[in-house]
Amino acid sequence: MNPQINDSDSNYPQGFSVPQNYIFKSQKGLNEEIVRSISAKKQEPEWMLNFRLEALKCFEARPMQKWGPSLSALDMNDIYYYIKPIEKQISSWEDVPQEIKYTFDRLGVPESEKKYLAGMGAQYESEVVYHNLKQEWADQGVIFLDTDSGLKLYPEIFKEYFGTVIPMNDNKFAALNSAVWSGGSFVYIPKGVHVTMPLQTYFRINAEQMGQFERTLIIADEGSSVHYIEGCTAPMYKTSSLHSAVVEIIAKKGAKVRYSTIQNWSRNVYNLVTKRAIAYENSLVEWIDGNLGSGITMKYPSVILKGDGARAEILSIAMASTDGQIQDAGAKALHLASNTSSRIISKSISKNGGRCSYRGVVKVARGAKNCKSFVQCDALILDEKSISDTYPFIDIAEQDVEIGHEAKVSKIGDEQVFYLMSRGLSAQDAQTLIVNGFISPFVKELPMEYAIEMNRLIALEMEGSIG
Amino acid sequence: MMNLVLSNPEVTNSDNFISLHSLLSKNFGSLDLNQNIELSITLEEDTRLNILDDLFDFGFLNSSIKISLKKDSFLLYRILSKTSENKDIICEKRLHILCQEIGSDAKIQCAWMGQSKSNFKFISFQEHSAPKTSSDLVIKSVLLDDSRLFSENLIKIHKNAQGVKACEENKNLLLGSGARALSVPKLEVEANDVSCKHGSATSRISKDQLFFLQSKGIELEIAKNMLIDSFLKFS
Repeated sequence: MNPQINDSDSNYPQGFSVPQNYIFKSQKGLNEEIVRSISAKKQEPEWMLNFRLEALKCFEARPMQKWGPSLSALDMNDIYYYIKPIEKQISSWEDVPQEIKYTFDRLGVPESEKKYLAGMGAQYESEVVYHNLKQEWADQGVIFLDTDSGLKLYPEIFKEYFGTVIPMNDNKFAALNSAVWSGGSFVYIPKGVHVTMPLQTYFRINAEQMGQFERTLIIADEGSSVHYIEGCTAPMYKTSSLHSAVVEIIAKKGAKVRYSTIQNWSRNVYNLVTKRAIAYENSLVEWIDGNLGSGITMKYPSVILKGDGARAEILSIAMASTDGQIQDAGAKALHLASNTSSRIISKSISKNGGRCSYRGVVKVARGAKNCKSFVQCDALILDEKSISDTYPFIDIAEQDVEIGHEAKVSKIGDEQVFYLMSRGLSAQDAQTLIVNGFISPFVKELPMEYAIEMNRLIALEMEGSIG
Repeated sequence: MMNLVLSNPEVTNSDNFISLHSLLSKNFGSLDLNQNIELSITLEEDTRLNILDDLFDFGFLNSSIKISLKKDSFLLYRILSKTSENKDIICEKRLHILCQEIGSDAKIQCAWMGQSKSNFKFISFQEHSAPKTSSDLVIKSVLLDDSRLFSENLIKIHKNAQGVKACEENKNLLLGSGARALSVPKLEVEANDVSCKHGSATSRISKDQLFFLQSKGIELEIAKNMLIDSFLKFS
């Protein structure tokens, strides 16, 4: 029997919510007592409690940033910082409580795990409620756990890498996450192991005025490879929710890590994320970053190219399709070693009064010889109400380099639409086809099932573009 | 703030540039070298003007210039500056081009060669507040020794400014081990029926081009200078 649900509107099918039968829900607002209670509930070691408390001080000391979209409407005191939905994590879908199982069934999550994935995590509010890794990968020494379990079961590896890529005081929202983090993924791939099917975590918010602060740490040891996918959705509410994640990736010598995101939060969510990777010698880090949802997103996946021969590829698409929606996304590539290369491709689409901004950095340090970097930012503005901005920052301190950056803003060409209509397509289908072609560099990097879903989401967003 | 309104018969052909220093001297008398130049120029309707900004050559290191273009006016604005060896010059130029009426068109060309520890800060603003206007900015720099360029270039297209074409290009040759180029090309586009683009490229002199010239019997240093001179030229 299905639980009593509050259904969503047809434009955002994931916007439904289910009743909240939770083990624990903190008071609204953030203070030291709440941070201590989170740490106590998780039975964490003392060093982690101290880390959280110090991060809380950093968060309180830092002012809100003066650049980018205004966050003044976000009331930090009107958010629940920790909700524990169930007592213990489960590794079989049949044992997941009814409302939660219904939610993930409706989102197609168990189905995709069965067919396409090496492992799956499902985070609901503040905790990972379901986690499973297929035996063949566990037998090869792959570790894929929620972050809380990673801390408990692998404390040495955890402590060695945690907070080393994104220090607690990196920025205000990294400090917030460091104080109240809960859930997320801890991934360790041993030397030489190639995980040929993706690992995925799906993040779901259900409660109103919820703050979700997942913390993900991925370590790919020498010569290994992994593809990690995250998806996220939330119910539509009139009040605001906050998602402030921190993702740290360490790609050791010769490793390859691909991190794909399809962000489709509801429009009431503030999505403020810090994602960064360190790429060592001859490694490759790929950020495949899709931003379709949320009310305001600020996210700039970064790669620090620390070892000779390291490479970075950042493919980002952003679609702001409702009035007032802001996708402030971008990418950063920092070349600290020689013979490194980076490629950043950013595609954005603004419509119905939405605003897309690209904010990026390419930096080459003195002594980092023979580096190559290429950045391409293309933006489509589909109507008179919408806006596009581009703010790249290119700092080159080494002469032996080849650095290129280009950006273009335009509307869909009338000639292209006319040509497709002359072939029998409607005006809307013609525009959708052109937009799909525009974002194809991103879509072709996704596994096929996600590419199909992505095309479907784009088609849904493009409905009503004409007239 | 010095203000100038220019209209026909200030007509020039494409080879004939008016010296900005001469224009200021003619209209405002001799200028104090210690002052920062702040100048506002309005080009009246149908005015066509080529300006060579030679303020730096006369020792004016800091200047802020705004040029407003009225209907169907055309501006070609050129800055050519080369610092001396062993002289650490720090200079700043701010240039604001406002295409405020339909049909106005501005081309800005800036070539900068820095040596020693010289430092050039160039802040430009191409603003389009009227439809069917166009602007084109090209910045080229050759940075030797420990010289630096900081170039921040904003193109803003207002909501009602449909049919605008605006572009911006920045190319830097880094030829010194301590040279550094910081480029921040920004776009803020509020109208949808526009063509707006920018590009930035930084590298050193092409080894293939050097090899080609040397294979024709040209010595290395002469070949380098030839390539630098042709890089800094504008058509």
